[in-house]
Amino acid sequence: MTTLADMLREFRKSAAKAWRRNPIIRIGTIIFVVVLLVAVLAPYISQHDPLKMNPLNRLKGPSRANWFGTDELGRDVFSRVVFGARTSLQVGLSVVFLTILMGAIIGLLAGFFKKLDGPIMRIMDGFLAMPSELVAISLMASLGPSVNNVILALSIAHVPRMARLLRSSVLVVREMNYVEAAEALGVPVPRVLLKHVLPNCLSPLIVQATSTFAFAVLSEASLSFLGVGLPPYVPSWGTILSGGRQFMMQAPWITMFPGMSIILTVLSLNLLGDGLRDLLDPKLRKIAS
Amino acid sequence: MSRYLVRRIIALIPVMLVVATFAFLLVHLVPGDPASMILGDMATVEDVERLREEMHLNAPLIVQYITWLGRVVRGNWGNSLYSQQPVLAMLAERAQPTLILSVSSLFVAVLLGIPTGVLAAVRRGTKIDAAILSVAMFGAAIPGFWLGLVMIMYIGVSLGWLPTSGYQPLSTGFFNTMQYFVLPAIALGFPHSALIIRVVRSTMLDVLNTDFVRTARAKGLSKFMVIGKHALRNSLIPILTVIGMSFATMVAGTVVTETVFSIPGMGRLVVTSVMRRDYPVLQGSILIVAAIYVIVNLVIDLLYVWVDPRVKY
Repeated sequence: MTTLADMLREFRKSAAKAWRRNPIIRIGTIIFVVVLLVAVLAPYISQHDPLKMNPLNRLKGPSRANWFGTDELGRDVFSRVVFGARTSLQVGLSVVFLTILMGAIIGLLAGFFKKLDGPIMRIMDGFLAMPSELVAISLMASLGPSVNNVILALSIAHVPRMARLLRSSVLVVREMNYVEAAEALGVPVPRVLLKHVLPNCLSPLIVQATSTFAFAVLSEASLSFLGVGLPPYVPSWGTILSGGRQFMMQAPWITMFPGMSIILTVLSLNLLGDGLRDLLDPKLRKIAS
Repeated sequence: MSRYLVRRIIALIPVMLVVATFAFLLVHLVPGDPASMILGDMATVEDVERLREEMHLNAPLIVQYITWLGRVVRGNWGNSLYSQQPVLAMLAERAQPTLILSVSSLFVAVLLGIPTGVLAAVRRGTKIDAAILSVAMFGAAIPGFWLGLVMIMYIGVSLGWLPTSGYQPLSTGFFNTMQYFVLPAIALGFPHSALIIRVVRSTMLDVLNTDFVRTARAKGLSKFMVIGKHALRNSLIPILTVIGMSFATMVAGTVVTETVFSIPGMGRLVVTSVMRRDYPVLQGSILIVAAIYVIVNLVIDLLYVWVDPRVKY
């Protein structure tokens, strides 16, 4: 049996090895860290207030004063893209956190308690029969546009995948001798679940987390682009694209830069996910090579 | 086989029941009174009361649920709160462009994905392989709607080769209709081809290492026969699975793509019904998309038998 501390130590060791040997992880991490830094340091990097309008300076091309040009209200596109990174990562991280939390609870319950398995998984199957984007957009109809509601809708849309994944690992781990031993020793069930079962189900979860993150970034952008995600005044890559759409021909820069930011972020997450999968699942290693 | 089919169809009932329950509960997720939320601030008390009556909101939740479910099963999906048209008729009217878009996007994804994936596997470890993998990695990260916008900008408008928005029904001629779908199908299909490339490549790599492929080579069969008839044929099951998954996601992806290219299909109907809080239409769209999804999955499972005669149900 492994404890969480062992797992972390093991993970750190293999992560260091992966960094040295696996260029995919290296590239993915570097891009992601850059995006993360941009998001954290947004107020210091941007030269302008992302919300400040300047009607005299609208739809201007990229220049020394406005690196990415200005939008239809004269706002600085560079500052908006930089602050958009903040919004995207905030949404992405929160969705990952909530999805793992809810998915872990549901997956543990379904995988460990045979009586709950049937009903819970039928409900999950029903949700999996609807594309995640459709679940999220439908929820937005009732919740209304705001950052928290986007996070909630995207999390609910992605929980069934996480729950199903976790359940399948729990089903395997449940049969292990150390779980049986813990139960025989009279360890209370919640403790068995958290200390003995969950830590041993984490590795597929980590890989899934990167793809959930990528999904969240992409979906937030498309929901906001459609006008049913974030309110238009919040700077996010989706809202910038939504506003820039009408001015695509006069001011292509409003559309180009947020799009490329999305691509870079999603690319880095996909690379990280691929790298982690190779790292954590030796059976799949040959597929990637 | 037929027993399997019956069992599978019966298994769809609980799945669709969950979908229907979700669609039903959407209305009740609204904080406060759904009727006054739908009508907005300007509505009078009488208007709100009339809508509450129309939406049967005054009955207890469970009664509402059962009557609603009963109506849905009998094919009465209600009327749009906005245009008063029957929901089923609205969906039927918009089905054609959405189906054309999904199927042509699938065509793009498959026609691009399979040959490129095979090429990458056959040329494993070469520069071609590396280039294909990088493009696939990049392609998977591109948001389809953004690709659509960029194509409208540079191919549609600047070069003027293809229409960038709208739609003409199939009755105006196949080629006339299809020219409206070239750009949307690429926007929706290209990111998915990236996924197909990777699956095709990895399964082909496995199959190319098997004994029967070596035997086929040793027999002196042409490269084309070895790859096409022996290797690809035996890689089809995972490929079929990923194609099925892609198709289902593409049906959902029409929501954004149709908005970008102003195609009056079901996807656009979803967006407008979300904006207008037109719940009957939204509920109908959810049911239809979920039904398409489960049917596609069932068809894929049945295709396994045709692709690989060893699979028996």
